[in-house]
Amino acid sequence: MPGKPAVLVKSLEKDYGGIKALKGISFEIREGEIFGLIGPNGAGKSTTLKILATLLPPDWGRAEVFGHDVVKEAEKVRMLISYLPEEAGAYRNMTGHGYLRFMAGLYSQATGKDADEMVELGIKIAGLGARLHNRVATYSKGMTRKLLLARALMVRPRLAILDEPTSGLDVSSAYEIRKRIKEFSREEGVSVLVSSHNMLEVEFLCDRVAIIEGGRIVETGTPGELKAKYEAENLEEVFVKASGRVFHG
Amino acid sequence: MGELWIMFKKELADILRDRRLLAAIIVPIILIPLLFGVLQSSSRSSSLVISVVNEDSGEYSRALIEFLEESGVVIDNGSPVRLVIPAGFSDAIKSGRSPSLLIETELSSVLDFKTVRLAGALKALVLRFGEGVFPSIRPEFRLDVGGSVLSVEPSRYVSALLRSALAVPLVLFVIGVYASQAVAASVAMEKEGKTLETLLTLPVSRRSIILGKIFASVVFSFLVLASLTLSAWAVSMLPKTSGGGPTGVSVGVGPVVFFSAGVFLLFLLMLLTSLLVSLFTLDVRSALSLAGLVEVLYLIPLLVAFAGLDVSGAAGLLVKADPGYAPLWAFLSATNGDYLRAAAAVLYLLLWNGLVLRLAVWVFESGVLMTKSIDAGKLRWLIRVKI
Repeated sequence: MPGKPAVLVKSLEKDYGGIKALKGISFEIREGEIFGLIGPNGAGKSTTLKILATLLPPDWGRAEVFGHDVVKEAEKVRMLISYLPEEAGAYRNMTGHGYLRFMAGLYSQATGKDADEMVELGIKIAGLGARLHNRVATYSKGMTRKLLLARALMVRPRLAILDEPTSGLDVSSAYEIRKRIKEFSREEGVSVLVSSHNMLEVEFLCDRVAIIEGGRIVETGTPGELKAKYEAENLEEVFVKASGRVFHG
Repeated sequence: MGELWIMFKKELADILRDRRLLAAIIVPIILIPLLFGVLQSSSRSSSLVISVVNEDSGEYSRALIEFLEESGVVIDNGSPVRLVIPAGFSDAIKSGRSPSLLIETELSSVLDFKTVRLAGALKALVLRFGEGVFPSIRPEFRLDVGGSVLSVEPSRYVSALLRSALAVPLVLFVIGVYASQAVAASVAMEKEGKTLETLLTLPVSRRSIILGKIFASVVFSFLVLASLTLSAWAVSMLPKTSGGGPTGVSVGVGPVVFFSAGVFLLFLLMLLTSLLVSLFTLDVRSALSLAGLVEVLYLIPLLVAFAGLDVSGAAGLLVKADPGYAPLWAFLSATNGDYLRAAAAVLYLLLWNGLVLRLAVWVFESGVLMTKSIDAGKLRWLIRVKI
């Protein structure tokens, strides 16, 4: 008997000054599941995530997080989620440790969770060692991303919304981050919504995926189901076949 | 030098690519002459109109009046600036004594800068006439402000007044300009540093985020104010070198309290408005240039008052409706003993503050902040809007 979905998206539409970013998408994420939204740049992934993170109101349709409407109950939704934007930054004048403490303090005020415990978990997830006591301004892109991921996960959200979590990272940093997301979700039972245009990443990370193209969801299923359906070797091939794209040369 | 030149060209190109910065150059060229053109056309003639009481029947007094008329002075008995030529003026010159003259000035309010300027211009003409006369003319002054009569030159009176009664509120206003830049930059820095999206998805009230930024800027501004006060105190402890302004110049506690309250509320309004406009910018530079434009809007009434322009008609109404006029309105009303009007001016500013705060919170809470899809068709050339 399936419980209440972590995320319910129904007929979601969003228009940016005449450009339709979302054309009525629908999907559902189960509790504790890692769900991947995959598609090329400009497909509507980030817009979907921003709506679920209460940053953007949809023009049409409905989006709920654990039964709470993202527009009407935005404050309740914010208590349950943690969002990692694609192009996020941390306060450059703070140390990594100071940044985690600052964020934990804000969460602690709102949720009553123990700030020290959050910081302790954040330090573990970030894995930056002594560098955590250096200013963020001195961090590489990979280190900043690890810090931001630690910030997003240390609060033990019920839903983590991660927009291109490994975007622009080198192979080893990207691998480490994927591994941490997967382990954290399994250990803590946290539902995760990941967007990516890296099909192989999503195949490694996600229990189920939705392929989004031109503001429409063209396919949903587990990586195994989709590969079987399209007789494909990997999700990249599934994407090409499902979206009707053809590679030339 | 080569790398410096390359960097210089890159920075200049960046600036010129920014349409808002171009606007900051072009808008003043158009706006300020336009504004002052409108104000000048709405203001009454600024020719030097004085009244003359000639108690001397000698040749030098007649020569002085002729000289003034030839210099474009209009003699009209209704003028608040009066030149009194005492009996014996011509005889004093003939006998080689230093002749004296009296310039009487009646100010309609303590901020009647127009009349102050008239008196100053008359003094300059009298001194120029005196250049050809030996010994030189000694002009004396009699100043009437709301029934109080002082033997002081109007410009020195205003200068002393500004120093004694209005200095702190005016410093506060300058600090307001500084703080509004700081608050505008604080939001823009969140955008530029890509930290705003994270901040907006935290389980923290957005009103708290806004107010946190405002209060931090206010506290910062007060720290700057404290520093300025300390330095002013240090300067006042230095040994005096000259007499300075006239003593005993005061408008009383009430007007200063109302003026200070008005300036403080205007200061908050500047912060809130700068914050509001900075929500639509993408970087610190844009935020600062827009905050600068906002400050100019609130400074117009002050500029008009200090320039001594007498603005009437629709332009006059606009100047008086500008929240920047309210502290002056409160001050002048309180100076005339009309505390009800002074309180109304303060209330007017409070209403503006409430309105702009609500608007800023609404923008912060709505998707407008993220999409910047506000109907910016008319503003797009002025502010950087990401669509």
